[in-house]
Amino acid sequence: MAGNFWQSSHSQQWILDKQDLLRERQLDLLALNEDEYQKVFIFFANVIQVLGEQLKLRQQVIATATVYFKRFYARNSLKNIDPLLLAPTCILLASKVEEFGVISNSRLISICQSAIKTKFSYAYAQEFPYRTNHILECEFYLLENLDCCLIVYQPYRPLLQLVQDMGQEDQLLTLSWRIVNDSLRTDVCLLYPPYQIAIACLQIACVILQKDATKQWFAELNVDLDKVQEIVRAIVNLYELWKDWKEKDEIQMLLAKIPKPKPPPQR
Amino acid sequence: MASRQMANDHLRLSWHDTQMMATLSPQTVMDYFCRRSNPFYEHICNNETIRMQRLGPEHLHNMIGLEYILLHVAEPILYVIRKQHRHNPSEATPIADYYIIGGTVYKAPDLANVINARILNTVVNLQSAFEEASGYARYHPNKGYTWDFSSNKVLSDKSKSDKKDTSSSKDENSGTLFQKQRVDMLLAELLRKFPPPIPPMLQNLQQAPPTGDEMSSAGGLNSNEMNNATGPLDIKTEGVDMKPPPEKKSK
Amino acid sequence: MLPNANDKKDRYAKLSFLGEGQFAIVYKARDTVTSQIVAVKKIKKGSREEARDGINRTALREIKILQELQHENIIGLVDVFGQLSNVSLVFDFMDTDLEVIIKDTKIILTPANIKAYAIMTLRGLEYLHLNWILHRDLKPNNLLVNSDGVLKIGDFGLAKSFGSPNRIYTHHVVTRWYRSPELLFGARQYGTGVDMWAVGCILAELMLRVPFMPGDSDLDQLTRIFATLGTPSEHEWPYISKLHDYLQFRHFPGTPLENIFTAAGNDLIHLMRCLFAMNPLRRVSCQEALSMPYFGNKPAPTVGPKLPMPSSVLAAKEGANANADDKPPLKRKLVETTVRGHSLPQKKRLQF
Repeated sequence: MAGNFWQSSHSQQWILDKQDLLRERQLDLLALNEDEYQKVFIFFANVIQVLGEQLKLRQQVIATATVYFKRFYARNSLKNIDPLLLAPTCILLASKVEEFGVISNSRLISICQSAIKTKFSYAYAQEFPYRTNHILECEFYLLENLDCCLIVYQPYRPLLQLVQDMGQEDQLLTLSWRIVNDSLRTDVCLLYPPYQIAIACLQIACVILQKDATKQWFAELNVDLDKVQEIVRAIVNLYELWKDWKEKDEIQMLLAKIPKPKPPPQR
Repeated sequence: MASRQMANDHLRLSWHDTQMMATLSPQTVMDYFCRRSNPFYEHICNNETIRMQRLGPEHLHNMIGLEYILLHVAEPILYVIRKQHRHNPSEATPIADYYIIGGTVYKAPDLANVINARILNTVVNLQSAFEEASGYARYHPNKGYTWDFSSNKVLSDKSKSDKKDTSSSKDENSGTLFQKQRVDMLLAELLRKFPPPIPPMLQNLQQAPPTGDEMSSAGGLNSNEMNNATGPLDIKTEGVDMKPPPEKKSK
Repeated sequence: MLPNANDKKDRYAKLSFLGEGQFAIVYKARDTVTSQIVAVKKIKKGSREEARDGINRTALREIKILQELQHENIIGLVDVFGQLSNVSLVFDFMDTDLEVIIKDTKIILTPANIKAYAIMTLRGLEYLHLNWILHRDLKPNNLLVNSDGVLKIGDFGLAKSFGSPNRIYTHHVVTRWYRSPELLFGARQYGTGVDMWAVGCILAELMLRVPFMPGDSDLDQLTRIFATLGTPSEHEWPYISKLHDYLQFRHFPGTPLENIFTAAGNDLIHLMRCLFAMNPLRRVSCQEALSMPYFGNKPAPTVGPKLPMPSSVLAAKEGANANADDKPPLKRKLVETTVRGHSLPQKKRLQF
């Protein structure tokens, strides 16, 4: 949405404080350590990405869905809702909000089922257990926990503007875009405004591509470079964690460790 | 300034609509007046607002601003419409009045304009009297200033007849006798109600003719005024000391 | 699984039924927590297919947009609650709307009142447009007014972000009588002009007290527009013929606006002319409209509490009972005079 970020609900209600975030997470951190927690989220961000791509959604929509996912668990424990249910729910809600055409429920369910079976069979032995009615109920719950703050500002737009301003070529744009996608697997979307995330990703891309000439450009930016550095650090940590992690081997164990809801709640 | 000029021009205007003229009645007269072509009607008034919104006239009382009301009806030909500014449901300040006689709308002159017109008349007449009289003044170093009407008798007769023509044409312009007399009556009544305060200086000069007569004579024909004017003039010339011009001092 | 749904539902105690629209039913309710009076809009479940789609898209649109906006002249979203596919939105309570006011023949709309409504509408709309949102359903019914005389734009079910160059918009938006010519010609892309045209129609309706151009069909609507305002020439609206559903209409000269709105001053006529510009690119924007002399000239816009209220609202406010209907909208002293036929007691009369 082309509104004013600074007056939006995103900026006013959903830029969280790191300490608060950690505190809310304490319950889950009893079962998993911080690295394990992050690995779980890397996994589910991938799930959302796969589902989104299968449904032919734009990256923006996928990113919004991921942010919804993270926002929900910023306030709730993993045991409140099975992340496997929440993931497609976030996709459904995001596609409605971004006005991206209609996804029929049956299609959504069938895509979930096929994705689990084909792409994530190493994680889930059994089939995708949820049906339309679960998703619809969950949708409501999600809306409520988002406080009806549905408009999410993504770093992609400022990224495009920055790259244009820098006057650099497409290679930089492609790489930094991918880094922004990856940043969704960290907490930065909850802690920092999107333009700072864009700058951080751009900086990482410049370093990787060894574009030293751009150092001058960064120095001239009128931003809080400390914050940008924090984001950079978070993303680099992500890569450190990610590269060594053998997802296919360990994920089943991790998923087992996630706190689960108490067995059958009354209807 | 421009609005005052316009207001004064309105005094010289009249308006009518040939189609609607024939069927005027107390019910239709307001519609007749409230036409855009009528120069006296300002279309940004409350009446027009109500009409545009197709509501009934009872709302007029509750609005603030310019409105036109039917003031007086003397069937079959006379209607008086007042333009006033309403401040609240019980108070309104009149701004102007318009009268319709036989379908033609005129603006009724206000007191200021009437008095101005009368004074203008008086002044013009006095001025022309003075101009005329000065034509008869003669100066001779031996005799000084004298009046000589006899030598220009023919001239003065001619001028008198000229004056008669101009004054008669003037008569048409300044209204019929009937109108003048009625206005005189009104002005006299006003004067009785609101007598002008007499400054102490003038109280001594009791022989000053009462203002009423002056007014009535001002409306009359020029030749009468001529005679009146020459009277005081005569007195004046007699009062002036006639001195021979000072002798030239010889070197 | 949904711990809060039931709590929320009971939080708002229904007071009375307010109205029903295509998508929702609106109730008056009291917030049992804050004692605030609110309006609860319960979105209808719709057909079974729609219900299976989850949260109603119209409701979502309203939620997502209203959550980001805060302006005195935009309706405020207070809360959202619901269960499964029953969404309910909770708004500020607004006593009436402009349609009720226009239709109440006991109310007279003075030039000052009209100016006040116009300013409030344009201010709210300016804020919307600055945030790149089109309302797309402006009509007197959606301009809500509360008992303090504050106007708020409501019903964002059709609202949408605009400005994205590649998106195709649907042209079936805005209630027909308030639809601009480019929409009627099937434009696939449009901008703030559609809202400005609607504002023009609303202003006209405030002045005439009846809908300005009530068409029966899209074709009839276009005919009426051109018959009233004149068929646009190619010079006035270049490329009009390239619009998707363009049809050539016969040439109408149109009526000058001052002959239609006879009581309007020249400044207001000028504003109307700018709002009814045929070419949407030449149509005035909110910012431009608000800077026009009409809004700076006399009379000043009526202050909020002094705006006329329909009799029902006044009755409710004073807590009156059954005979509220006959109460006049404004308190006034009874004056014995009438406008026509009777003479008023006057101090002076001119006599001839």
